Amino acid sequence: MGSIRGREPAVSAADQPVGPPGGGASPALFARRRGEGRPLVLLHGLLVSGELFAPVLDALAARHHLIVPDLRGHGRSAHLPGPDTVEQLADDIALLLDTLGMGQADVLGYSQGGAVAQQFARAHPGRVRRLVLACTYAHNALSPR
Amino acid sequence: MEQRDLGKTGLKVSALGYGAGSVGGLMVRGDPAEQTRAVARALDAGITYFDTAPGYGDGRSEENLGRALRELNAWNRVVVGTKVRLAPADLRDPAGSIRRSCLQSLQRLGRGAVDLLQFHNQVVLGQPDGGSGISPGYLLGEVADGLQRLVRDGLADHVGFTGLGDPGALHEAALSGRYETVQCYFNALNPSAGFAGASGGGRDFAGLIDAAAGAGLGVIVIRALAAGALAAQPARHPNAGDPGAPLISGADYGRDLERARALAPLARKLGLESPLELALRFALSKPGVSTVLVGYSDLAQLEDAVRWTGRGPLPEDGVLRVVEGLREGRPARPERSAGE
Repeated sequence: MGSIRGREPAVSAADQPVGPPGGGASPALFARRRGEGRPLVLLHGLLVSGELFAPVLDALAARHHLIVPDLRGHGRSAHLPGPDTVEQLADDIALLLDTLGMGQADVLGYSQGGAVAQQFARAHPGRVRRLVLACTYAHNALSPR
Repeated sequence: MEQRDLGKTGLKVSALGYGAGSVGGLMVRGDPAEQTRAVARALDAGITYFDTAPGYGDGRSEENLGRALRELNAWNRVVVGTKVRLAPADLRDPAGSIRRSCLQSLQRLGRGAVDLLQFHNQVVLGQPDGGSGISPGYLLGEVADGLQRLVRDGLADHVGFTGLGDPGALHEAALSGRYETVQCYFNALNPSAGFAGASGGGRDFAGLIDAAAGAGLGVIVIRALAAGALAAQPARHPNAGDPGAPLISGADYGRDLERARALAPLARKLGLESPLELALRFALSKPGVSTVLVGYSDLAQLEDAVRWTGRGPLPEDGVLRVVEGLREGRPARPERSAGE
């Protein structure tokens, strides 16, 4: 597993900054895109990046159009300004789909990514086709309340 | 209400579908409160498939259906199919035109994605003549690519096509693996999509339903009541739209009306309320059919269709009587001779 600013993965043509979360002038959220089929967004946990999913990307890409962002403050999106609240991270995903010209997607959230996925489904219910919550919880570890 | 598999989509749809088209007209020209009441009644009766298209009332059907489902908080309980029809000018950029049409539909429906997006144009052989027909190669190439792109982008969950046009091309499309559903023209005046050769003198769809269902496609029956001709009455409801140009050769509305009258004695003999009940239950009885669309002009027509559907498929004897007369281009014979 990579750390928050750790291991630099190889970047393919499909791995691109595709933001812009928060407006045209601000730097873009980084996301990997792979495969063909119904879209599936993979949301990683706290203090890692989308590289978390590297071992399963090929298998999932055989059946899905994968969108695997590095969440704000993480990985190749580490340079984006805070706050890294779960609300902000979830809204970033909606903007990401907007930027890609996409409608709804299946959303899988792992660990803290599950909290982001739940918030995304709350705030943007029309964008979530199916929600998969893996090893997660219903609070925000970044800004507990 | 029986729920059937929509091919291999993983979706279940009601045997009787809710048509929100221009011909029935309720969802285009009806009073908004009655539209919502009708959709509520349909949901209550177990109807889960709702059919619309951008061309129905120039977008009004999509808007009204979207609003009614929203008011009833029912979007998560239904399967909605809409369509895309390309104009000749759109053929320069089919993928872009398909995407624009879909985005406009989603805006009118008030949704981020639609369950089923179906290509609406007829499939014709040879060079398009400036009409709305498109070639089989185009249907399986650029159109299918454009539709798959929308699936990839989460704007449509499943894609289908409309089984009107050249029968050979339609069979090829059904077997191509590029589409998950097909709309099939099938009724008691021309059931050739389910009984090859029984076309009543019209276009022979040569068992398209069997071919499509065998390939795992969902089959959506359209024109089950021949645009209302099977009511066998010239008077039309104030909400009803013009039946329009024939969708297939040999299906002129006046001729259909005349042939539908010939079914009335058979309907009586079978103890049915009307040729409409005969026609609807005839369509429901065809194996491989996922849902039979009926368009409604008012709530009373919906009640009729729900009641008839509840009586189940037409008994086999009735089906055979309808079909037997159509292979030679004759309407069904109402009576059998004694000793037959």
